[in-house]
Formats: sequence, structure tokens, C-alpha cells
Amino acid sequence: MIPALGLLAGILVGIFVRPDAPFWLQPYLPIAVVAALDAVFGAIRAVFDGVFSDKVFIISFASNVTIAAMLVFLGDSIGVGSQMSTGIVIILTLRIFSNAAAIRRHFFKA
Amino acid sequence: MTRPDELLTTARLRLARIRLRMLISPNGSPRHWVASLLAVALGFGIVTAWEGSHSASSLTSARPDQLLSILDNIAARQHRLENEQERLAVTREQLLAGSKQAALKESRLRLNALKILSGTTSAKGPGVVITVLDPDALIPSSMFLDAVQELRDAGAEAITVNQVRVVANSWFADAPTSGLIVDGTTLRPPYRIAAIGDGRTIAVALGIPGGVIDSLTIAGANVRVATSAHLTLSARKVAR
Repeated sequence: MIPALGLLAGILVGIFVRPDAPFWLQPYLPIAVVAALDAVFGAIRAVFDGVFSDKVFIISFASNVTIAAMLVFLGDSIGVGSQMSTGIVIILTLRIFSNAAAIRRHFFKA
Repeated sequence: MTRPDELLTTARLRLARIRLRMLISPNGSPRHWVASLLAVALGFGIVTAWEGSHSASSLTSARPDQLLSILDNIAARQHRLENEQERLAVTREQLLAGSKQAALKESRLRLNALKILSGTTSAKGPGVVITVLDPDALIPSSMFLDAVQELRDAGAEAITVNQVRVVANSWFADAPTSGLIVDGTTLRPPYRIAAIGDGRTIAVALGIPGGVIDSLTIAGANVRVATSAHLTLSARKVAR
């Protein structure tokens, strides 16, 4: 509940503050957001599987975001930035979908 | 009689509900707070990324072909300005050399140009006619000002909006209910913007991606541009 409220609070703060992402962060922020969403969906799935551990969530959140940003940075450095971003987004979206499907199975028969 | 797999499904559903309840009830451990903090960061990040993708300035987010056409425009303008600079330099030489003929010719040219700019004389020549169908009155006056500015940039010498001659100190405002006020005259759609100048240049300038036609169309108007070989724009009616 508190994490959900936290998410809401973060969104509200963002809406009121109207943050401007620093220029160097701009290519990585969207990817980091998708990576974080993946961690969140993974955590929700873990809750329903009964294996949720906040330690695992914190570590997977941090590592997901860092690795995604690092990969984009690497891609940018070697000239395949947009392809790398696309690839990362595809993989993360796939995982989000499979996690969402697992969550759904806990609630419905399908 | 319930079958075993149905029993299993019911049990799993109940388990899911219990775990959801456990998730909802706070348990106050430090890690829980760290996780919540991460959620705050995620929410903040989502909004920031959203802002970033919605408020990028026009040049940084422009596609390569848009940038190319902007660059082309600038290059063409530079070319025109260089030509003008050359012409003016020649004129200056002649005037400095004390040629009366040249001085007279130059003042006549200036007089004509100023007459046309100030709208005290009617203007004739080739040009373009832009018809803006805006039945729902979606177009703000600022877009008409932009359009007029764009026409001037593209080399239009005389411009009228629905018979109102637009001059250097013309002003545009939104009418209280619907419509457009130009220099105190309320106009209703459809608008007809006529401009005298090199019709093809003006048409191209209006049609660049992200240009006047694009922005008017995006704003919800129906825009047609026609070049015309003979346009006559009446002189400005001077309010006394």
C-alpha cells in the first residue's frame, strides 16, 4: 500500500514541480522508467507467488535501472543507440507482459 | 461434488486475496520504506520522462527532413540577402559618386516600396491566395500573425486579409465570440489571405513541414493555397 501511495506521491510531486530532466539524463530516463516498471511488475508477481522479498525488489529495481541505462549509454557510444533502446524496450515490455499474465492467472482462471 | 482442480483454483484465488491484503497492510520495516522511496522515484521519473517527451523544443525534436528544409530556407534567404547587399553596395557607390540620376531613381523606388508597404496605394501583380476554412473558429489570431510574418519573410510585398490591407503597424486580435479582428475590423471565416510577391516562392515557404499550412491544418483549419498571376489589392482605407 505504501509503495503504491509512494508512486502516486511521486507522480503528484512531478506534476506540481514540472521537472526538467537534465540534458545528459534525457536519453536514459525513459529506458530507466521502463526498466523500473519491469521491476515493479516482477515484484507484484512475486507477491502473488508468495516469494516476495523487499530486498530482492530493491536490488532488482536498482540493477534493472542501472543496466538499462548502461546499455543505452554503451549503445550511444558505439553508434547503435536507437537500436539498443528499441531492443531494451522490447525485452522489458515482453517481461512486463509475461509478469502481467502471471498476475492475472492468480486472479482469474485464465 | 467439487472436482479437485476446482478446489485448487478456489484455494489459489483465496491465497491471492490474502497475499494482496498482506501487501496492502504496511509492515514498517526499513526495507519497506526503501521500496516505497523507489516507488516515489519511479513516479517522479515517469512524469519527468513524460514532460521531456512533450516539451522538447522544436529544433531538438525535429526530424532530419524538417531540419533540412529549415536549413534550405535559411540558405535561400542568405542568398537573397547577399544579392540585396550587392545591389545596395552598387547604389551606394553611385550615390557617393554624386549621380543625380541614380539618386532620383533610388528615391522613386523607395517611394514606391514605401507606398506599397504602408498600403496607401493599391498593389497589382502575381501572388498567392490562401483560403482558410475555419468553420469552428479554432484558429487563434496569433496564427494569422505568424502567417503574415511568414508571408513577409517569403517576400510578399502587400498582404490583405479579407480586404483589410495589412501594413507594418497592423494588429490582430481574437474577436470576443468568434472570428478575427484586424486593425479594428471584425472578420468571419472563411478567411482569404492574399499576398503579392513571387507566388511560387511564397507557396513553397508556406508548405514546408512545420510551416504555416502545417500548423493551420493541425489546429483544425482547412487550408487551400492558389497562386495567381494577377492580383489586385486595394489601398488601405484610412480611418479618420
